[in-house]
Amino acid sequence: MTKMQMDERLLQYLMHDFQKGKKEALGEIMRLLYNDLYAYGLKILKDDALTKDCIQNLFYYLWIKRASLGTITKVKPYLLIALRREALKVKSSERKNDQQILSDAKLLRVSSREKELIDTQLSHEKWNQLQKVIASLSTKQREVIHLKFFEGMDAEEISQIMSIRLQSVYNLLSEALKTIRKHIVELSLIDLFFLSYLAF
Amino acid sequence: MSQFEEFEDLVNDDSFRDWILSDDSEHQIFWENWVNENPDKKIEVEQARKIILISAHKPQGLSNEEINTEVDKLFQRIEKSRPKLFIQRPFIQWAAAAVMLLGVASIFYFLIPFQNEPAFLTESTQNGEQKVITLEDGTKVTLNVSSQLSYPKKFGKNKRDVKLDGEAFFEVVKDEKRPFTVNAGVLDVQVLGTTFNVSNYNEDEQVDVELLTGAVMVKLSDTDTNGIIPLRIQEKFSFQKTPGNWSIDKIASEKQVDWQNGTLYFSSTPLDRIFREMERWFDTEIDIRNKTLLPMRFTGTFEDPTLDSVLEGIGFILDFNYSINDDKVIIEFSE
Repeated sequence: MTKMQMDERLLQYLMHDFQKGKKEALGEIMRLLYNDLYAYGLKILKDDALTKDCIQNLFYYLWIKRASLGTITKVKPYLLIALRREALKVKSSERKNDQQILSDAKLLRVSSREKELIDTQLSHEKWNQLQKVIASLSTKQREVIHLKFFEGMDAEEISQIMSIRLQSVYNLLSEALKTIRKHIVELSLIDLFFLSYLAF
Repeated sequence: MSQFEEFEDLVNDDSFRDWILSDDSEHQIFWENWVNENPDKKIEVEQARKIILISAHKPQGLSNEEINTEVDKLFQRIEKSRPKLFIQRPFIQWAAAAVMLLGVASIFYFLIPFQNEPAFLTESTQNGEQKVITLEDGTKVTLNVSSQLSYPKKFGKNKRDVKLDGEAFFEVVKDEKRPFTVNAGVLDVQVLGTTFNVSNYNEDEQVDVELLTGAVMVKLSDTDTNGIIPLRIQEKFSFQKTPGNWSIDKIASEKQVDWQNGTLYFSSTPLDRIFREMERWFDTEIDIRNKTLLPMRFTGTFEDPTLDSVLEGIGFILDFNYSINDDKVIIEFSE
């Protein structure tokens, strides 16, 4: 049994316990998946506090609706989808409230932790270079890359999570890779790590 | 053999990814040969290698501590949304409280001097046995497996002191003039009238005090510390015997102290502690063949458990096989 399968089995067991009203089981699910959800939420929202709020809301709604959730066969993908929905809701309401802030500046907002790392280790020149790469990728392209490489999901799972057609997943992935490839030659591996922090 | 014309084909190929990311990939020989035979693909390979390496690099997330804070936040919100279940009834002589102490030391003598040197009685239980004792003042004590309670035949004028090794559930009759104290080795638990659970097994490293309702005070016997810690409803006090640290957390579930009704409860409990508790509960000996996996933790509740059902439940999750021979359980983790 692979680690991924074992994790999923543990999650299903905890899910079952939680749906019977065991709060602690829900807490355990939150602990196990927190950083995966956080990484994904951060990619969509670009904001540390908003992402944490979204995760809080997600788990709170799960608790409230536990009786009507039914049997969930794939816990992690299910929670990623739910978080995505929640994050997009927040994002669209924010957009209505504050159209201007959400232009290009918003795209590159990073958590304070990452900002600190970048400030200490990245030259201004490299930073501009990375911005160019990121700007040439669409939000959807970045999301596909994140799910494919960070979450290790296959195209079919990605198409379910993002609710897009399978062919669109392949297209997005291929376009994104082509764009990154152009810049790969100029950037060192270390710089590329920063790209992964910022973009995916 | 498939052709890898494009950089993209390489990036998307599972065996190529595996070769890049793991030290002892089964695809190593294949890809080393392929690279040698296709020198014109050198740039593509290098680009693909880079993109795989960066994309497999997970951004730093929250620390365990920060995550625990988030979980606590969730629990607080859940608690707020929940209607209070218990109603105060002041005319009732029983204040309800439950306290659980796990794993305390020293059985040898009483630390607390008793007034008028009252005569002492001792009741004890074996593995797998439980017993109900009624004290002179009407206080009811349910002894859990493999435990011992020492108490005076008649309590003094201004205090009621007992000593416990192992685990017991107390229903103390209220008497404001005579506080009731349970000595559990490194800790004293003091109450006026309340319902609580104390568990004090020598072999456990950690002491837990869990208060469901009512109020108790935990007193560290260590004179240097001189600390008296009041516990509030739904709080859990944990004391590490070495190095002597303590902390207070929110309680997970009332099931935690529901052993009298046959509930076995684990909440993120380390596996070695689970096995010790099972040994006492089922009067058995558990032998673990490969101990490297013992730091794993398990969360779950077993109602009316049997040795088989608990082993099967935990074994299913943590992936081990077991066999039961006579009074002995042998556990073998899957590699």
